[in-house]
Amino acid sequence: MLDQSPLFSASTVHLEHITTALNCLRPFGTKDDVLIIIDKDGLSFARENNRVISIQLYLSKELFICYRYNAQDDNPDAHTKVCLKINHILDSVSVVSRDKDDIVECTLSYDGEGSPFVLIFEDSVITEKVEYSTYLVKEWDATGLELDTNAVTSECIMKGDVLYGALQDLKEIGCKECYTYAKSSKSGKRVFALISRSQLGLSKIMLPGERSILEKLEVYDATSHEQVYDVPVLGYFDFSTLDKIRPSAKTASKVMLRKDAHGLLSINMLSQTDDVILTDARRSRSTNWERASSSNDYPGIVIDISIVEKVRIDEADDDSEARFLMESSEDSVKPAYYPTSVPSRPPVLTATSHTEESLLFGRQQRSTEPDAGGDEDYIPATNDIPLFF
Amino acid sequence: MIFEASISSFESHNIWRRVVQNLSYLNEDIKLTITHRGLIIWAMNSTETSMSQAHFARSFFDQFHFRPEETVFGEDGLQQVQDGSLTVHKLYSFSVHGKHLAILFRKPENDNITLLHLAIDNTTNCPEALANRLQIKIHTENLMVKEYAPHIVPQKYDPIVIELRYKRRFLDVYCSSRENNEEQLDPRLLEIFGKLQRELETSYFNSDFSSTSKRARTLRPEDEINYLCCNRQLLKNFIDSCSTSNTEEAKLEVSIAKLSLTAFTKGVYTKNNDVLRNAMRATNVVATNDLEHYCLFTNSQDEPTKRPLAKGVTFGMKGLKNFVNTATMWKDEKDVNIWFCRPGEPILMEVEGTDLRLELVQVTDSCGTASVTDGKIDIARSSPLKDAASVKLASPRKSPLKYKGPSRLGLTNNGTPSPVKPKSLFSTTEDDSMQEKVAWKNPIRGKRPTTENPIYDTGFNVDVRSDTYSKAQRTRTTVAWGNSSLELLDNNNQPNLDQRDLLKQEKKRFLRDLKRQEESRKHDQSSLEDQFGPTQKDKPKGLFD
Repeated sequence: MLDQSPLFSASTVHLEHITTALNCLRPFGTKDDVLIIIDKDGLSFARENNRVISIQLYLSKELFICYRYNAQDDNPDAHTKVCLKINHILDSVSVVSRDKDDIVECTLSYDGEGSPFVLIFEDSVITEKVEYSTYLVKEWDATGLELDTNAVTSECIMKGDVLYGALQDLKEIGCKECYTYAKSSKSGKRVFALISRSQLGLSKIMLPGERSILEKLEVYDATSHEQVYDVPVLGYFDFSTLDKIRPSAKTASKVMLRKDAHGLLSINMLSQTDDVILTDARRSRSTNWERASSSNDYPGIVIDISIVEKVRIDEADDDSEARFLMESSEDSVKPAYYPTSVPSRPPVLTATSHTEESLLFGRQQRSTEPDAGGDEDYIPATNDIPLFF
Repeated sequence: MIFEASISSFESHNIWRRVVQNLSYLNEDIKLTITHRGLIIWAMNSTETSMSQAHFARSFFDQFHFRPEETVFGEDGLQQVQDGSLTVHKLYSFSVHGKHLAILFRKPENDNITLLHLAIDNTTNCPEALANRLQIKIHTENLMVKEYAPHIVPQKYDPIVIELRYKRRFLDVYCSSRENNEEQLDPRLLEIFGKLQRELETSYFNSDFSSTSKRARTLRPEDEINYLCCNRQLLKNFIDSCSTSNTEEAKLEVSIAKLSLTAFTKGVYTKNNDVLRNAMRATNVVATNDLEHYCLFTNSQDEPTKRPLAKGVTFGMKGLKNFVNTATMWKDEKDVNIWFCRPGEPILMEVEGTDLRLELVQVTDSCGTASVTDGKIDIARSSPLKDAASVKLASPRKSPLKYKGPSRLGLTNNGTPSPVKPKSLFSTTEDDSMQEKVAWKNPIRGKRPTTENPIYDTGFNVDVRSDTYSKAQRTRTTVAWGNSSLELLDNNNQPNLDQRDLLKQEKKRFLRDLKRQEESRKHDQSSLEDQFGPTQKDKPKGLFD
């Protein structure tokens, strides 16, 4: 199909899947350039907005029927960068996918700096070729948007559709600012909530604490890395920023949220096509996809988002209200599933740990005893393409 | 907590959601009033032309606690009302942003609400952050727990009691006349009277109404009130079939024979007669047989030619549409009660479920027909007729006898026949008398007991009698006339008939035959006959006594 062997070429029939993935980039600006990084393992799409939020979306080479990257040298880390407007690709795809019954094969190719990025769509009757000029490569600058793995204060793994539902609700009530609230207590009860500040005042959406949905919720001391209990970790975000992750959360089967002591929230999402718990929208797609897929190695769409916390001008005030809201109803909320055994790991002393501790509610008294064993061996995951799933 | 309530059943959530949504269309602010008996939630649009109200009974909620005595914050909402029997009731009222509320109670995507909990704290223990806030807690099937605390503005309830006023007037006009005349009314109509009576007695806001019940016997045109009751499906069909999204106004017109519902939009033209907007109009006509009940107020003194052909009011379509669509939330069949007075006075619609009563009050258009009713007021005593038509769609004929009674009443009092609109068609006086009778007869189908009120030319007040009221007749096809007149002849009631032109008679006969044929198609013949027999006999007696 291609005359010569370009620097990069790949073809796929899973256009719909790719569209779904690329749609996650839309909230980050469709008119702006997205950086595409091509390497031997696949394509990464990266974008950063105002240095407060960044997204990296990774499409593995298994998604493609054939994937060729002819790096000039033998360096395994060799990569090529190119900038494109994401809506160009999406528009092209939507123009092509008129006929749902026909299989469209899409071939992408790029021959390095100075050459256009080429998309070729072929269905049973039509072949379309689209060329996008590529002029400018912006350097990827993620300074300040990388998780400090040595200062992680909370880590939480949950189902994507639940997070999506919560974000959707917040959007509908016109949320302006949003707190994340994470707390795990000694008794095994975990609470993850989104608290919205809007015209309605403070509203709270508590995600289910059941292990089937909230798979993991751990809170760590920022300096000692030990797990602590009964100490909430709050994040404070501008909702319009946080809401950018909504389309991604919709496609995600699992979401990992990690927050470090510097106020950076890192969100890793994986949409596993073979995952049992998929949202309905994804399910239909994924069945098609599975049928068509020739490779079982495909890891799914991997998305990595980092968000910088909003500066709290009036810290004590802001927090205390949200904390109060959580406290006030905590007792009445009982998860349907209540673990009968105390978690195997002995409790850890929170002691002084939390800088955001509110003095109002005397929660410190409730904090747990120190743990000799602790979590020393805890090594936070790196900020690379997530391996935790 | 001064107020706590929870709803757990799926059905109730639906109802609650629909009601709140419906109200949120009307106005930004929804007003709520908590009483020991339940919750009143209502809204009026900004131009004050439409008001919708829902009364949730305490039993609607799985749990309902109201302790107004504990109120510390937001005392503006606290209020005491004295009802007619001088008992004092405590209320707590506030307003809240309707759009927000509608969003909060919206059904979650791919999920269902399992428990909905409402609370207002405002006691001494209430944290400041929760003062004057409606605490809403929603548990869903997906195990999400959502808590919202929209701000409320405590404010006193200013009850708008059109509803009670209309019911009072309705009872005054129709119920009292019943006693006088010993009419035999449909027991189901009597049931309604009884129910309304009870409702008036037990209402918190009835303090103004006790006196009015002792009003003078004579009725004045201002007392006009008309009532009809029909299955909500009938209105729903109207909403669905007449393109209500393109029309702005609805007109309800009821005569003895038919109820017509019209959706229309007035055309808009420029000075040059260019069309800016096309006028359009769509009408549903339903035979009154298909109504559960109706009671029309006829002003017998009006000059026949000027009388409106039917009782009609025009009002906004949007409110009606919302109301009817909300009323469809019940699975089982419901009847809609409609009261309206003269054009220009509001129309009241009401649907009642077991734990919930929905009301819609809409301002009606006063132009056009209003003047007609006003004109003759002084002299004319209108005798409102009581018309109890209790015919069910399913089995219209079941109780034809109930209705016969009323018809005779009208006749007894009058020496002279009342001029009915139809008059204009027939110049002779005899014709008039004929026509009156005809009116009764219309109910030939047997369903309606139509009673005519004879009217005195002198301007005497005629006692209330049940009559069918004539205006409608003219709108009807001539067929209707033919029928009835013939019937009358058979009865010997009308000596005057001889004077008619033969031609006219023949024509009427012919028309009657036509009509009969039609009717026979529609109705069971035998039942019809049964009904006629008794009515006919009665009427003649009455007239000539």
